[in-house]
Amino acid sequence: MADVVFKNVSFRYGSHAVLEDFNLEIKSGEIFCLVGSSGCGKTTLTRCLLGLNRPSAGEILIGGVCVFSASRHIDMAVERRNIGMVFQDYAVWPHMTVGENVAYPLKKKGITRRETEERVKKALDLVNMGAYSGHLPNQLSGGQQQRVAVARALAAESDVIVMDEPFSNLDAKLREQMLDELRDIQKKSGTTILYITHDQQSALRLCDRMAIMEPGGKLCQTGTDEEIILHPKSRFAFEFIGVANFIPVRKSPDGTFRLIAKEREFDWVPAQDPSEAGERFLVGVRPGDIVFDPDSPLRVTVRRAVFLGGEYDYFADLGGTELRIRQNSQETENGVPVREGTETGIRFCDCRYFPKEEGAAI
Amino acid sequence: MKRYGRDRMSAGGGLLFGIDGVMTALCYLFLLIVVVIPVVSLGYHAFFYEGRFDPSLFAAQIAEPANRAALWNTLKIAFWVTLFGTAAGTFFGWLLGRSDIPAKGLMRAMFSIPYMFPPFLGAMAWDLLLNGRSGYLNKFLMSAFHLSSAPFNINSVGGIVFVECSYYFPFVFMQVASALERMDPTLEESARIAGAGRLEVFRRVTLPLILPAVSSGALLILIASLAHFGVPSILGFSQGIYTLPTRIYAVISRTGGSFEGIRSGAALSIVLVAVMAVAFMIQKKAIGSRGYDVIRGKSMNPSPVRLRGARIPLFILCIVSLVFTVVVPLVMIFLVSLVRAYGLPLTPANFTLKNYSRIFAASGTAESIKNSLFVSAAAGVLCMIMGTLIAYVVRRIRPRGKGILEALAMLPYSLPGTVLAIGVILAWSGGFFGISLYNTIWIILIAYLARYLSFALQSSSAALLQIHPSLEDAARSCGASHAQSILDVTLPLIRPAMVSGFFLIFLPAMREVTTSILLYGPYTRTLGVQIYSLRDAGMIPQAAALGSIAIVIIVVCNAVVTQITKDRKGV
Repeated sequence: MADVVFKNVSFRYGSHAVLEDFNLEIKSGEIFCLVGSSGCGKTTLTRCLLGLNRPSAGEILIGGVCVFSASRHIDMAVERRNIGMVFQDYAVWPHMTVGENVAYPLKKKGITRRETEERVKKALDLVNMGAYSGHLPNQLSGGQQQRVAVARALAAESDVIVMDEPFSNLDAKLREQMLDELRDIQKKSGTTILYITHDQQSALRLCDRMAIMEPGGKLCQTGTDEEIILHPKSRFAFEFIGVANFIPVRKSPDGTFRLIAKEREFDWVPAQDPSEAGERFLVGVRPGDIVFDPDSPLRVTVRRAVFLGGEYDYFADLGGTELRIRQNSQETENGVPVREGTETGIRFCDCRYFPKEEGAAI
Repeated sequence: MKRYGRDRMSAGGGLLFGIDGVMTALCYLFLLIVVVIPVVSLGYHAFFYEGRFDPSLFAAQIAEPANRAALWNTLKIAFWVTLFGTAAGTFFGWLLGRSDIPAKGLMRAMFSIPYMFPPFLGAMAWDLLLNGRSGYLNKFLMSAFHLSSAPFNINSVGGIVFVECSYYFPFVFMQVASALERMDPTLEESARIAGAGRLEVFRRVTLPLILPAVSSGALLILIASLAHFGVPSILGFSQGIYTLPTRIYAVISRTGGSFEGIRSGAALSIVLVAVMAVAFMIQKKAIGSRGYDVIRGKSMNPSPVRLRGARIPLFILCIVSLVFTVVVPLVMIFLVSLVRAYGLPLTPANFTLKNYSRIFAASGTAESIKNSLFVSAAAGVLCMIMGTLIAYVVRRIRPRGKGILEALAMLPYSLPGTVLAIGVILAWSGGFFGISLYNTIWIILIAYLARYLSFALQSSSAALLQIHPSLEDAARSCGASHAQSILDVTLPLIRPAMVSGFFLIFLPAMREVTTSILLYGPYTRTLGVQIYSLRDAGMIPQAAALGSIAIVIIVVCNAVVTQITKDRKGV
């Protein structure tokens, strides 16, 4: 168990700054998910933590011990930081059997052979790979190799484990199972886990707390998963964790609001009080928070209706702006969806307000 | 957390002073000894005399008509060898790669034999057969057809071109045959479907697709031929036909290896290097302009082109070519090694095994085999170690100036062996800090290291590219130090490539003549040099006997390599 602290960490490739003044605190014994699109600096961050990349500034502390400090010239060697790592490309050694792979960190720690055998078996059983101990990695599928990599990190019983997209090659069902098991294991061992992914569903399933990383290495929001889902602080966070519609809004001098679609404007009565949002802002609304209401003044034409099993996904035209609307199959009238080409009205049940982007056209 | 105790903290990080720094420094030191100092010495002595810039020697060498003739011969021979070698290589490559000619596998193996057969032994064999005055075949033809003069004269520019061709066409042959085998057959099939005839398909589809393979093979021939020493020296000396490499050797040996002679050789070397540089520029341009990659890595089974009526005649043509390039020289060397005295008819009555026992009685033969084994094995091991180290530093550690490191290691590849030898003499026979390795085996080792380093670098580089760096990172996160991660992960993974790379150096080094002939001392003859000087001394049956032994050694080693690389696991 150990907490992890990044203090003002900066890292650059040549002149390109990947991380700038990055700050993050991961509490001891929690599962922390870092979610971000590819290329935003997630992997660089983990490599800095491991000691594979050397930041140009800042400090990194693990369990209260400084493992890196640019100002104090501290840079602890990778192997001394005691961090388990699951690499995105598995990094399972092809010349060692599955068992030898998992046993390697224990060998380096000088653990007795008997205990090593026990721990290797336990770790492989945890990831459902117990039967493959004698196999060579090239006899395994990608998903199986990923599980071996996870077992290798678990067997070492490090204070901190970093996982970079560890289950990306598993099918959805197995991934869910693995995530649930990982959570159980972690709750028992109390290891601190930093889990890196671009898939917010896995993050929600697993984490105690999560952070969303913007391109450019900035964290736009950190908090529990509920906080982030229910109270996204920025447009980026709102957009990143689910499909979102954004429409510009202008406050008229008389205090009423106008929705500004591409080709026309609508009078609009907000569901929540937007008084703090200012004169011009964006309204963000999830497809599931839009309902059809034939009497509403917000007129749309349904262009396409897609049946997705539990729900219908509509692409509707609101004065030239395309909106995504989602309707639960149960809520359709007599099981009949709104037909393509229908002209009808909509209402926003729930929405959020975000400051208007600078320089954006009205 | 007590595990992060103070004592385990390292200050400053391991990048500058750790193992990475040591490895980088080691690479530079090695390249300094083997490449930089010899090359700089060569350039210095060609243009400077007693510390002053003095181009008079260089100008005098250029003005010398014999040198100009040598330059002209070099270009002429290289041109014709490239032309005929490429044509033959492409033709046979297509025949064995794409047609339904019988016994393909066997023929392919046979066609790659000239690859390992020492060209100067081939030249010796042809000289025995078609020497203008005393060739066995010439004598037979003269008596059979009552000719007054020999019908063939191998001791001519044409003869040199013929023999070089038969050893260099495999460069193109192997590239073309493997390119054709890996070519996506649907490319040809779709052209047929679109209505093109067989010839049309070959001209418009197949030929453009294999052109990159042909051109890169052709340039290999061109470069090899420009730098070639063995064949023109054996066939040309008696008629006064010189090429630049043989002229350099002649200039130096005529002066008995004096400093003046070596300086003249250095000046001539500059001319040869300039010619090579032009060839490399052509290569760069030719390869740079062709970017398509239609050859898939996966092997497919294209339906072979039916030769129909031409099948048997073409098969016979292949057999005849093989007989001429492989069988005849081989048999000739073995037969002559048995004859009691050179010039006697090759009949069983004249055969004896005495030549074999006699060469071991001759001074230095056993020594030469021992020397060659030692220096080739040492060069193979050291080159592989240093080549792997340089590849590792360039690909993984990536220090500043890694480009320079790589360029320095590849530089000797573009330098002819003759030139390298002169550089090594000028550098390490007292020129630097009074270190003189002249007449020792070490000076030959240095030249071999320079000559074969690029082979090692290329094979290690390719192997390292296959190994993702995260494999090593994973070991480090498991608690292994950098050195341990290299030993436990990277090294075992590239070991197979290192072993086959070793033989890639050991085999050509065993039959090396070009550099050793300029570097050997009284007690440091190599196998190639010993054969060469036995022949030079007129002891032709003995030279042939030693040549036969060399061939046996090479064939055995080659069989060992094939066995090793066959069992190699595909990791």
